[in-house]
Amino acid sequence: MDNAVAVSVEDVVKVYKSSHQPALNGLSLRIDKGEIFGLLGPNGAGKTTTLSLISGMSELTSGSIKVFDTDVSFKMKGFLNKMGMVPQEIALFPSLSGLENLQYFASMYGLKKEESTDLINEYLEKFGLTNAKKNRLHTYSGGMKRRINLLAGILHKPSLLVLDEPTVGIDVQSKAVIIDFLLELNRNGTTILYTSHHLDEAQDFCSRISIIDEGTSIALGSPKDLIKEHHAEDLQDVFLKITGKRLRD
Amino acid sequence: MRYFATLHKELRVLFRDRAGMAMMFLMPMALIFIMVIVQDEPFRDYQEHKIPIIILDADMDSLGNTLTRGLMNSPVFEAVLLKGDNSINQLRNSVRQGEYKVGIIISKDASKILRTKISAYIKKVLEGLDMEISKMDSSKVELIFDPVIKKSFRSTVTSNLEKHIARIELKIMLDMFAADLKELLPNVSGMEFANEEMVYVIERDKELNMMNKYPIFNSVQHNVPAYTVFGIFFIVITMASNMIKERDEGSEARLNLIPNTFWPIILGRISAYVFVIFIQAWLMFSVGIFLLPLLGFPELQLNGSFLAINIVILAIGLAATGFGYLIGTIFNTHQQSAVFGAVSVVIMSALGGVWVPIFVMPEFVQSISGLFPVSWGLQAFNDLFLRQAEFAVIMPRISYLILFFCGCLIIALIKNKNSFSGK
Repeated sequence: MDNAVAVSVEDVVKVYKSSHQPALNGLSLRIDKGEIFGLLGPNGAGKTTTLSLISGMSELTSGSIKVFDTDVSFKMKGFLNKMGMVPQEIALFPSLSGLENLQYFASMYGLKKEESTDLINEYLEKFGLTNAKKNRLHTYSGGMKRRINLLAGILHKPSLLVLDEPTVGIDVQSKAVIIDFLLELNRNGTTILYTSHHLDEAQDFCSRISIIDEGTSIALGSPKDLIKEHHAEDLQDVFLKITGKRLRD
Repeated sequence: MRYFATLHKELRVLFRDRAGMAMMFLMPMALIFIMVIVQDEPFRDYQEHKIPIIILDADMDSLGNTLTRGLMNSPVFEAVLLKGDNSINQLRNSVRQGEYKVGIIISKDASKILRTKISAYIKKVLEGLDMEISKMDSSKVELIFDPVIKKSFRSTVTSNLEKHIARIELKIMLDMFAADLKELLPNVSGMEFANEEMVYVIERDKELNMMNKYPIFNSVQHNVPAYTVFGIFFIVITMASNMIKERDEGSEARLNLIPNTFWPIILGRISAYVFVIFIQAWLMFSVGIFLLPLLGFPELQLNGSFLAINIVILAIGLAATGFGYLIGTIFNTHQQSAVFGAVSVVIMSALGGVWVPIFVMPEFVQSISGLFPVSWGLQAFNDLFLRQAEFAVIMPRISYLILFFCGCLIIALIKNKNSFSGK
């Protein structure tokens, strides 16, 4: 495998036991190291399924996925050390404070207290959460929770960061802080795989995107190239042109 | 390090969950208070608690006098005496209304009839008269019971009364026999029979029991360990609920993505709950040792070594957390886990001897009560506290509890694995 490739998805099919319809139907992708790769698509297109297969949370029906040259289906979880996952849900402990949540995840990543303390304080400062760090998470606003949710996924400084709709349901200020921070991480060498329904955000943020629908990739390229190729005004226009206006479940 | 981080996190989550804490500490404590108070009376034996009886002596002769005196001096009864034969309705009403548990009516001429019958027997023996004594009238002592009292209680009263009457009969018989013999053999002196018991029934090791070496099985001695075990098992609801919450919120899946965290998370979680169980158990025992005596109840006797008691707590704690882990794995919603957890613990407790001791249960129930971990835990406490059993005696029960824990954990892990392959 090419050393420049972070994630390789080859002809992946995923059929859930509870369904006859494949959630992914021969999906192929290649995400290079250092990219910000956007995975876009309507509801039910297979975005979250793709992320859970890449992270090894689900098993493939067929095909192969490699992350940093490790085949995820071999159940060798070593690649996960290089990967940070930020789920769409606020996957934290509401009765712990923001600081306690981050300290716990840092310990679980195997970071020693002395190495994690400064890092956590730096991140909290950067995200404007220093004053609220000792408050319980359930007292935080949606934007504050989402910022902690992001920090909990990057404490171990992953080479690949997988983000499932990291800016959903938050205000413009929180969104700007998060996007700026992600761009900074990317400049420092972190590869980012990102899903979103915010197409304007994706247009500015991603270096390449893949639009998937019904479990397969239907468009791939940089936002600029895709807009040009489809004679569209912006990414939203491209999206509607190739996925149509039919409502999805 | 990951283990200690999880232990620390779980303890924080647990102690900040006020409703969960109340369920783990206040509920079993309240149950101990309530059940000790409610069951204090039934647990007191008849030596401790006199039975109130009312006697109507229509005989007013030797049988009536002796029987009344005997009952009034008995440590078993607290007797009140009515005289005259026109008070039967008064006696019946006071028993029916529950003022007295038993009414005893010694019929008119009971002594006279008894003497006539005994005299006939003596004549038959000494003079060889041909008489059909069985056809003669018999003296009657009639009983009226409070309708609410139990069958076993009725048997206790009846047998006590029969014992008194048998002694009186014997005494009258011996006295009359001695008098008749004296008439027949006027020159022989010392013609008297000693009216004393020839065979004694005595309780061995009574002195040891009186010295509290073997504590008396009372309401405190039953309910405190019983509701401690119940409270320990009730932790399954909190545990399962927290597990399901973490799964719903996505933190479980997120942690699963961090390598080398699988066993530290499981062991850290179990250790945190077992730690809370230790606090819970000793708090409940403290209620039995310090608080209940202040309310006039007996003090809980904690016999058995400190180590053995803690090993039993550990084994029960593991069984309860294993069960909680299984419920938290199998069920998908809080409602399902809470209903199943509560109902299963209540059923296990009822059949396992928490509500009433196993030895008073029907034989069939007794045969199945030994199948439940609640019963193993409670019996292990009883072995230590009441029988002062050696560690080897409680070892099988501890082994069952640990096997139950391992079984639950294995099933939960298999279920987890199957769920993963289905995703």
